[in-house]
Amino acid sequence: MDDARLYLRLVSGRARSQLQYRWGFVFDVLGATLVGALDLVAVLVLFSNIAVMDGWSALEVCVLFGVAQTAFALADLLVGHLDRLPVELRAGTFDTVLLQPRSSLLLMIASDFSVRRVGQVALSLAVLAVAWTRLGLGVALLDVALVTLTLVTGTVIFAAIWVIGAATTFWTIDTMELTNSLTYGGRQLTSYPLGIYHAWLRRFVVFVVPLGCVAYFPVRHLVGLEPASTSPLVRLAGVPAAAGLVVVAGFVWRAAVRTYRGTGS
Amino acid sequence: MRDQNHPESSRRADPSRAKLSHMGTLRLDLAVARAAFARFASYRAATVAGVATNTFFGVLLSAAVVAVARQRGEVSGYAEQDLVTQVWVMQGLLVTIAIWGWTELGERIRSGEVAVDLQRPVDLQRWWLSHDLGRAAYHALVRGTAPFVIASLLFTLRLPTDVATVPLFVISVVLAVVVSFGLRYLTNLAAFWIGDVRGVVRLSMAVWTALSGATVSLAFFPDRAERVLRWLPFAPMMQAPSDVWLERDAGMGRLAPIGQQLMWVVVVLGVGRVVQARGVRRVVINGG
Repeated sequence: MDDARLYLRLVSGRARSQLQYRWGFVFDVLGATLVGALDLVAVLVLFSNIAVMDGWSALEVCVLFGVAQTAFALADLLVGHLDRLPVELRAGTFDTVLLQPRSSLLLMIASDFSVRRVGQVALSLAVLAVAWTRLGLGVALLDVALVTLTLVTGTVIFAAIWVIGAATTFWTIDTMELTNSLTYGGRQLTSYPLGIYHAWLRRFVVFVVPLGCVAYFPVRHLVGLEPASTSPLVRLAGVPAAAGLVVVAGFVWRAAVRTYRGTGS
Repeated sequence: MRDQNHPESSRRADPSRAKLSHMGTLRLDLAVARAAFARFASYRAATVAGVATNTFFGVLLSAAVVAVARQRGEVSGYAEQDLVTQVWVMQGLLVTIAIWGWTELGERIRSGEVAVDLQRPVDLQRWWLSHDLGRAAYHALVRGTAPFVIASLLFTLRLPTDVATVPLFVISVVLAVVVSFGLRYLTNLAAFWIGDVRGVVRLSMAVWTALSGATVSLAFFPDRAERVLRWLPFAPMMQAPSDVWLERDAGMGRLAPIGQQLMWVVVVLGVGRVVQARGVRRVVINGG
């Protein structure tokens, strides 16, 4: 509870500071929102050439897109600024984080909160809502619960991968881009039906780096494309994936921080 | 005896007024470019990570492209192999033209450090252009080629059949870098008016990425949209060089995309100079 209050106090300060350069902030929100909008344009442009992709219609892919992008945008909002961790490591300013009597991960996560990213969350949710209604999927309690659960587990999966990737830069410093390929690349990957990828890539993103568990399996069920022979439990693949990643992320982060040596005087 | 206060000599004493000879400027351009090359070559781990990233994205984009092309056979005259090849040429181009996130000049304008740059006896735009070409040379050699080479193990990629394609492609890539530089320079100059330039940069990045063909080749766009997009300054950064590689045009027609690139080089660099001239009147030096 104390941690939550600290988090809120720190991020609200960060949020206020972002409103200082007013026009810079307006462009920032527009830019961040537009990135998501243009990803949607990419999907629609591809679908202007075909009616179905791997058995999915444009609207069905939009539901998948909406869920995956919302989860990504939420994770980006919570931990996206870990992208800048290498800068602190190189400069040695991570020292100041270790001097606080709090979890270093909590402090890093609370060190920023990019208000602009709220725009992308809103946009992705809007895409999900519009595609959902136009498909006439209704609001059955169980379905809504599954969507909510999927958004939570999806966010956790993205955020945990972000933390693990950022933690590895304690050893390598310069490899944040590799992490980005899993986070930003994950956004691209999860926005399309898994069936379009090679079998080896599908296996990799389900069993090794479980990005494939972010949205595909539950959404496949929700839009009625799940094969009848599939166990209903597959829809919940995101739960063990998220839980496992959180454990791994905590472990890797602690191991990584122990290797930190500062940068001398 | 020479008068110490002679206007001629006092002008020479002021370094901001000193003029370098023609050869001197060229040598300086080269020195700046070489330093930039070395600067980016020093990040080895970043290079490896970057190549891996481009390769991963290339695999994902290829899958989407193939999913469409398999059904259609061809899209706007591009066969499946052309479209996949284009994905990989563009993965190499992305970092070479540095389409993403350059705010170095903007930060210097915001902090006022640009005042120091403007005192130097070199043209600001020219200095940064040399710097950017040096950076691009490094990125083209390493990050530009590696994803394509790796991809040729996974896919059958299209290679040029005409010898002339190679020099034309190199010219087209250089022009793509200059157009991209000109656009990035312009967005950074916005810092003279709005201070924090990161939002503008992010906004423009998103637009350029989508409209240059980088996320989806312009071939996939509806015909009318495609025709309009080919006339905007974004296609010259991605679509044009990759079309040259794919030998889309024949004979003298092959010079058409390069001519279009040249036109945009003149426009973006010219507008950049005009905007800069207006902007420097607004320099604010923060923190005293």
